[in-house]
Amino acid sequence: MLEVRDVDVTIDGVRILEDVDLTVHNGEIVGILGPSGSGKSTLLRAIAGIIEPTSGSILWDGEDVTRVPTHLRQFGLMFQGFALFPHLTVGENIGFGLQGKEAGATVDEALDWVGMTGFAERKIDDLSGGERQRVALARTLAPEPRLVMLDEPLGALDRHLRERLVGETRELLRQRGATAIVVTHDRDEAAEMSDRLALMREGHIVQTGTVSEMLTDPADDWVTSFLG
Amino acid sequence: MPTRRIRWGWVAVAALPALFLTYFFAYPLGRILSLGLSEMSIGSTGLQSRLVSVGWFTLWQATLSTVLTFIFAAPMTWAVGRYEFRGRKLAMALVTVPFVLPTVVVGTAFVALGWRESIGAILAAHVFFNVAVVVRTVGSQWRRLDPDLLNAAATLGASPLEVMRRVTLPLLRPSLAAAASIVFLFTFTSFGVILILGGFTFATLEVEIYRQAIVLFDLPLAAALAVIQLVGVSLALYLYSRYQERHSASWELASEDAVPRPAGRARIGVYGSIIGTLAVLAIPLAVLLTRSLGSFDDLFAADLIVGSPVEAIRNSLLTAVAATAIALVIGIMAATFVSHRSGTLSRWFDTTLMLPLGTSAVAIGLGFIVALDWPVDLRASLALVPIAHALVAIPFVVRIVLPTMRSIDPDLRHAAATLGAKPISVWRRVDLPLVSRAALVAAGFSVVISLGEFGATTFVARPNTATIPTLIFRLLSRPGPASFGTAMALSIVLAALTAAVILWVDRFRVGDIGSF
Repeated sequence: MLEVRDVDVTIDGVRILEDVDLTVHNGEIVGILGPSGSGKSTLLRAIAGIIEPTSGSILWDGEDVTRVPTHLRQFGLMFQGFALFPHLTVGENIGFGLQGKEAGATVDEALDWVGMTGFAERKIDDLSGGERQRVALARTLAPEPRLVMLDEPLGALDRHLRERLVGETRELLRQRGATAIVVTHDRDEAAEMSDRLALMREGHIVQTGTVSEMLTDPADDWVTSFLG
Repeated sequence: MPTRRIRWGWVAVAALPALFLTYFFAYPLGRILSLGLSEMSIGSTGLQSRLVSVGWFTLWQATLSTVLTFIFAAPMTWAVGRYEFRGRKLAMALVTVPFVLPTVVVGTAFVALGWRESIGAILAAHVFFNVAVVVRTVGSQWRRLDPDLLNAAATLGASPLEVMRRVTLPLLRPSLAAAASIVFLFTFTSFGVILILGGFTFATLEVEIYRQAIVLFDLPLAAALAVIQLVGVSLALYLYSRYQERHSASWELASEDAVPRPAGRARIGVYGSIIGTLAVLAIPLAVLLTRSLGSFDDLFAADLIVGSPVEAIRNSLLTAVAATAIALVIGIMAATFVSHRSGTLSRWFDTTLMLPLGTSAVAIGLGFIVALDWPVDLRASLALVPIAHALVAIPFVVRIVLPTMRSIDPDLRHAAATLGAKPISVWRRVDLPLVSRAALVAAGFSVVISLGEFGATTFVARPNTATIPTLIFRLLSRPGPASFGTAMALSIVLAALTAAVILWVDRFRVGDIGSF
């Protein structure tokens, strides 16, 4: 279980996150929804340990991990621009976080999950946008992180492709029983992929719950207009 | 059918640079080749015995210098590559100071440290000179790596050390290869530093060419060594360009805005690396400056044995003015031709203009004394020194002026023509004013090159027309603290002149023009 408690992030004098509280239960998929610039990506980076919170703490199963370096947290993050290593093949990218003898087998398995069997030797340069998305997802899931975070996983793709991949991505997370956070600025995408939503605006979490819960009992007018 | 009209105007524009380069560059190289190859075909034993020891030393000292330069440059490269911080631009400017200093100044500074005739002194001077190449080349690519690639590696469980080994270094490979090639080439063809700090105990190919030609007057043997040197350098350049073609950086570069500021321990590391590196680099110059302080009066005493410092300063300034004038006229004419004409001839010309860059200054000097006795004997002419300097400077002038010339909108010229301007007045009233800034920068570069030029000058300068670098070398070759003091004071004068010109040029610098 992930607990974010009172997290503040200030960069170069600008307060990007203010008193953020968020809980993600085991096996739950939480969608973070908000306009661009609301601090969604910063929150994911703070949870991953890429950005250090100015104050507040991040806990996993009750243990404070706020000062634990990124590479020891076992929190997977799929980056908005995918951040695929251009000097490595598809297989080497997916195998980056794996160790030992079974790495090869796991890579092949991960390629199967995302429907890209046989792509292991391909270069990143030769992939289409949709293929890159799948490779990035497979790379994030392959080491079996205890928390999966997806930052605008479908953001860069055209609408047709998004509609298809929304379902596939959700199924993949479900099948694996992943504890996950999905960041998006698209309401339908958020609703379809997650069990529960957290609505963000200007560095705050305004309200959490399902879309219908929030529409029935909105925290303020902005929630109604943003969801409506 | 329209007849192909020969444009005599363009022939004239191309002819002067073409003749100049043919007579002062291609023809001397040809004479070196024929002299060197006939010496080789005799199978001279002198050549074989010298070649083995000299060639081996040249190769291993260059390799070791390159490795040591990378080790010394690593902390500062990391700091400027990975982080944005206050004073970074100043630190970059300061680390570049050794690189723009004339080689004789660097040599004198290490002599002032008391490190004469040792391999340690040579290696240290090479590192001192080349740190900037690594810091600037690798640092600038590092700053443009997408930081999310490094973050992604960390989220996948890679420790900072592993991120460096598995992501950062492989992605930096193009700039690492470029920096290594440049440093290797500079140290492989190193002349002034080795002549001053190695004496005759340690000789590279360059120094041995000088020794055979000037001290022992065995021109055929010197020519044979020069041929081997030219083949070696060409081969290295060819292999490097092949490598770059195959491994060209195909990945996208991020903008520099994403470079983070260091926090916590990283902050200490960054400032520690910067201050440490710059402090070590400052030592030779600080020692040179303090030890020279008492000797500035000696500059005005006419030293009858090796020449007077005041005269050398005057000679250097006059030479710099003449060399700059020649380089600007030839370089701008050549650039005008290349930028206005497309086609095979123009491209071929463009490449040819770069050749003097890949040729060592020593080979240019040797070429002059081997070849310029025909059709009239020019070898004693006063004009040879500025001509040699101009030859070294022309590639820089072309590289600086050409991009600006190419960027001029052709419609500006068309507009001038429709307003009734003749081609020559279009050039004078449109092209020339627009390239004047670049031409000033090119002029500054030419002055700096001429002031510090040592390799070619040692071959062509007469005893009574010493320039500052050649007089410094003569003073260093004489025993006694008085001449050494004068050499140090003169080095400071040369360094100050160079710095003044560079500061002046820097005001006109636009973007990265003229970076190596």
